[in-house]
Amino acid sequence: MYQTILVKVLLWTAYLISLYFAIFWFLVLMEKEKKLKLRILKRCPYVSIVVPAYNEKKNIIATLESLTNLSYPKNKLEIIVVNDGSTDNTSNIVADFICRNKYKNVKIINKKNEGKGAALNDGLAIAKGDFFVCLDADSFVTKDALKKILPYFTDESIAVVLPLLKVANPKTLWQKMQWLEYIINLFYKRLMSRLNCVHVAPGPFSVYRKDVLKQIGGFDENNITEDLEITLRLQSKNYKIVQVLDAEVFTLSPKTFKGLYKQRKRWYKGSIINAFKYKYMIFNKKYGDFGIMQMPTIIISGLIAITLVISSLYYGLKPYIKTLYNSIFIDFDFYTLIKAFKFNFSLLDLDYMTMLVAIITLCISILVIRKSHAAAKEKPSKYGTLALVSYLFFYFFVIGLIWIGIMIDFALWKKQKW
Amino acid sequence: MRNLSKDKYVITGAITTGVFLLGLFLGLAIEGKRVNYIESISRRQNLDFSSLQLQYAFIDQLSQEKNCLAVQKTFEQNINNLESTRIRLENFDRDAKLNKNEFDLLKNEYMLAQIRYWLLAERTRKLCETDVVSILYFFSDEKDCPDCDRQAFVLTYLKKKFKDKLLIFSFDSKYELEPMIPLLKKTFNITKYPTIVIEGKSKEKFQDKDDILRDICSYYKENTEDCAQIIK
Repeated sequence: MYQTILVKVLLWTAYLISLYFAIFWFLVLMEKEKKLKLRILKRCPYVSIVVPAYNEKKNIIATLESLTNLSYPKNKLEIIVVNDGSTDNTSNIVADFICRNKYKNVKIINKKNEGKGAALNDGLAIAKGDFFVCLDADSFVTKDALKKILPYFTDESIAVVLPLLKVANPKTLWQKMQWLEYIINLFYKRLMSRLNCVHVAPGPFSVYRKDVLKQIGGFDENNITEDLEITLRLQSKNYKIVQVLDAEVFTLSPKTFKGLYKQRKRWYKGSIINAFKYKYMIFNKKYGDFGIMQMPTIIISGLIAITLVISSLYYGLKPYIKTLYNSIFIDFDFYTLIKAFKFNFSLLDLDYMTMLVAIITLCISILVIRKSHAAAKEKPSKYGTLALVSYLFFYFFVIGLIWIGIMIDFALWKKQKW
Repeated sequence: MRNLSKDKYVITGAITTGVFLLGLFLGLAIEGKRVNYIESISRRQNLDFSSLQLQYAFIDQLSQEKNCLAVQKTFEQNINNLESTRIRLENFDRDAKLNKNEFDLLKNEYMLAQIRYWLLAERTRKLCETDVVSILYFFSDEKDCPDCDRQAFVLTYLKKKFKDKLLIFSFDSKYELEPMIPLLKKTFNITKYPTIVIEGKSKEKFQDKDDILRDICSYYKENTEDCAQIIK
């Protein structure tokens, strides 16, 4: 009895909190946005792009080619590959590329393997640019990305500007679902950015002011999600982080569930660990909306996902499992049951409360999908209806399951490897 | 000092509360409708019962045994209606928030109806020389009776197999409000759950399909296919 009440209270709390979040961001969405007066680039500032690479022989050339193809003055652009102790021949491949490159603006640093944070710091140490850009070796930029991003640095307090990140060439269903997820997430981040609530500047092509990066001490070298850590640190120093939707960058995404699980486990674990590192910002008015809204969200979104997934699995599957178990005692004679089945249904049998929640959630989801795809100039059904339907009704469970895996790891004190 | 969208938090809170209250009121309105629905069905069923009683009295007094078959059909129909409404009522009661008392009263009424039908079945058995077996099923809630769920499943299955040749009346043993329940429990010596009473003989603990089949088949005059298998 008390258990069921506890489960119900937990479930309704999760519903209410999710509803609150959804309505809050819906209001932000509905509010007219103040038009930013973009800066006109009179002279192109010097930009350093750092590509940390660990065993990236497959993708690195495409990444570097996309960088050398950027429509930006070549004498204002330096590309630094930091070979983080690769054991494949990444180093040779890059050296070869450097020889072939006619602009002579690519260089390579070879170092022993110490992780991405350290690699970025090594790049930062020798970067000559006013702006520092990080690009993972599994991502590619569109030609005009940099030119579109730089004008967003309209005032000194803007430390980072983030591009629109899309999944490159989705092939498997997992990748297609991620393609949808990225577009929706980036749209959500654009909304967050209106209230200066962005909490992560991801690896692919986040553009930083270099002096700010140096001032706050560069990247954390012992962090599983150094991109998230640096963003929280910037937030704690009250810098602004801007998400834009008109500069596009493509990134490769995991092809299988196993790959996705590994990636997300690191991301989500990193978000929890780093949120605890900066816990003084949680519900702290000094940090504005970021402290009041975003920091708590980082902590509880996983818990909400777990509660909703477990409860919907429990309530959705329990009757079927019970019937299946009970069928042992009638020797699985389903024939008799089906033969005697009479359709006996009353509208009053429906659970209207749950239906109300489900309908509201579905409506909001559809609205968000439409709006976000319009903003990213894409069609939701670009990669098929199956991907769209799977994303709407199935992807959520996958994320919930990953969160359950994370909580088990935390409970067992398992250490996360990069 | 950083920006804090105070008004947005307040408006969001108001809308969230609004949606929540809307859901709550909707739920309560549905619950009220459910009470009305069961009440009106139960009035209808009371009427059906009186009519059925009259039909049997008519057969008895004017020796109209040839009409037994038709009346038997009505009996079966009524009892099926009764059972499906009872199950629906159980579900409504489980979800009920405000109208627990109303639902409890209705459940009480259904319990009495079951007893009435059982007695009627016993009385008319001789009159119409029917070949039926009746089972009384005493159950309790999940905590006290983890086996009740599968026992009910097996009984429902058997009912579907034998249809009008098997009558099952179920009684929630926790229902002490109704004096008939303790009376029945005392009569059949019921102390544990689940207990089923087949033709007056009580059997404690979970009875599997074959156990019950063996028992009920020994009472049928006519040998059916289902019984032939088990007796063999």
